[in-house]
Amino acid sequence: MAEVAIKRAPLPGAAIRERLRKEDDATVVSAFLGGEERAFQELVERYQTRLLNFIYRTIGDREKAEDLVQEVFIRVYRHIHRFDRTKKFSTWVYTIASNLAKNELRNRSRNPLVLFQTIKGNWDDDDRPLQFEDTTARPDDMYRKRHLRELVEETVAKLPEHHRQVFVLRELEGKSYEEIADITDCNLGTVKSRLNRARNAFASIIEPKID
Amino acid sequence: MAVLPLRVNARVLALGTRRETQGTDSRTQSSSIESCLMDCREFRSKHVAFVDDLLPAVEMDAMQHHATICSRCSRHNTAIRRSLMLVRSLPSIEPSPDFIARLNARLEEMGPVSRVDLVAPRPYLPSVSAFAALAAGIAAVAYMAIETTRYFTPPQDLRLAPAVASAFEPAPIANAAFVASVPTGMPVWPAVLMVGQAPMHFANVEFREAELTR
Repeated sequence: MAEVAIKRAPLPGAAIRERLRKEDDATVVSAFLGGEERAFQELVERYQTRLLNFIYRTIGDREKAEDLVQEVFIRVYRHIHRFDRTKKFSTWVYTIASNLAKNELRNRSRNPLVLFQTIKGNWDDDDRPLQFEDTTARPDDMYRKRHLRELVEETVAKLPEHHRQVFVLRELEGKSYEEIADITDCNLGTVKSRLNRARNAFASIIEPKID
Repeated sequence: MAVLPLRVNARVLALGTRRETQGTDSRTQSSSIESCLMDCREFRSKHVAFVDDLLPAVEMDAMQHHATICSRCSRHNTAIRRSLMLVRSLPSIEPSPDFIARLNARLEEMGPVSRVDLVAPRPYLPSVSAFAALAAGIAAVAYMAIETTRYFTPPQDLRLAPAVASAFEPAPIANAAFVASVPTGMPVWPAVLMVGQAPMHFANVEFREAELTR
């Protein structure tokens, strides 16, 4: 009697990606560790924008921020087999990003030339075409919005490094106090204290300028 | 005009909860009493959780009341909330269009990660340095154990060589006349003493030293 093996037809790539999109991070990580390479692409898609915004707001350099986000994913790819799956993947990824951003800031503070080039690069940004503005809006509204956005970004950049990181994680990334404590390796009291000071400092700098 | 803050323990606020059941007028009065009991320092210290809506209901109520009464804290509260609205409405930046392509190129340069690493994590094997550290630790503990044992071992009786009484033989140089002369500070060096210390042997003659005695 011939044995008939019923083979399940493999799902096409698009269907696999669609299925992965509905799963939570832990399931996607397990799929990747189980050999599904497309699962890693799903993780990249989920986190690339969030990490870019986090690192960019922390270090203030967009090009460098993209490089660092790539570095985050390289490290995730290399070390994911060591990731403790009882913990949140999001916290792990943000911790890697936070450490890379801190290292970048530390390197800059040691090299004034790098700092100058970063600032100069930001000046050149004014010549770039606007990307996220409504071109149908009135010019004065567009100007006001652009000015406000730049003002907010400058003010965030003025915050001290430790306060800025907590501020960005809370206000822009929406992380809880506990997650921020894990990412920045501080206790809960320190997180609340830094957040309080960051908010006070931010408000005191920006309030007189928007009145 | 700001109400002068009273320095009262915040636990007094909990007493207000009982008064609230006594009617609306007394309720209003007790609420204002409670909010007066919160001073500005307490308001500022809890402001982070207040903005994030993470305080218990009683404390939230007390904070809101204080904000309505204290103009300084009210302005502070408004400034913080308004500035946070600006931050939270910042547009998100998107990665450049070639971000994924660049990342994939870098991953390809890395080469394929071993399936063994992906599928089954490598078993933990201690490295040479870890092994050396462990061996050194064990040796240190063993040494300490031996030294401690020695320290607490009762001392054994010392066995010295038996003492044998023997006649004192004066040093040859300690002649009586010499010894007698030393306290006076006038050492006498008669030639005969020197002769006595350096016996000379001639072929056929023996000198006999003359001994000076008292």
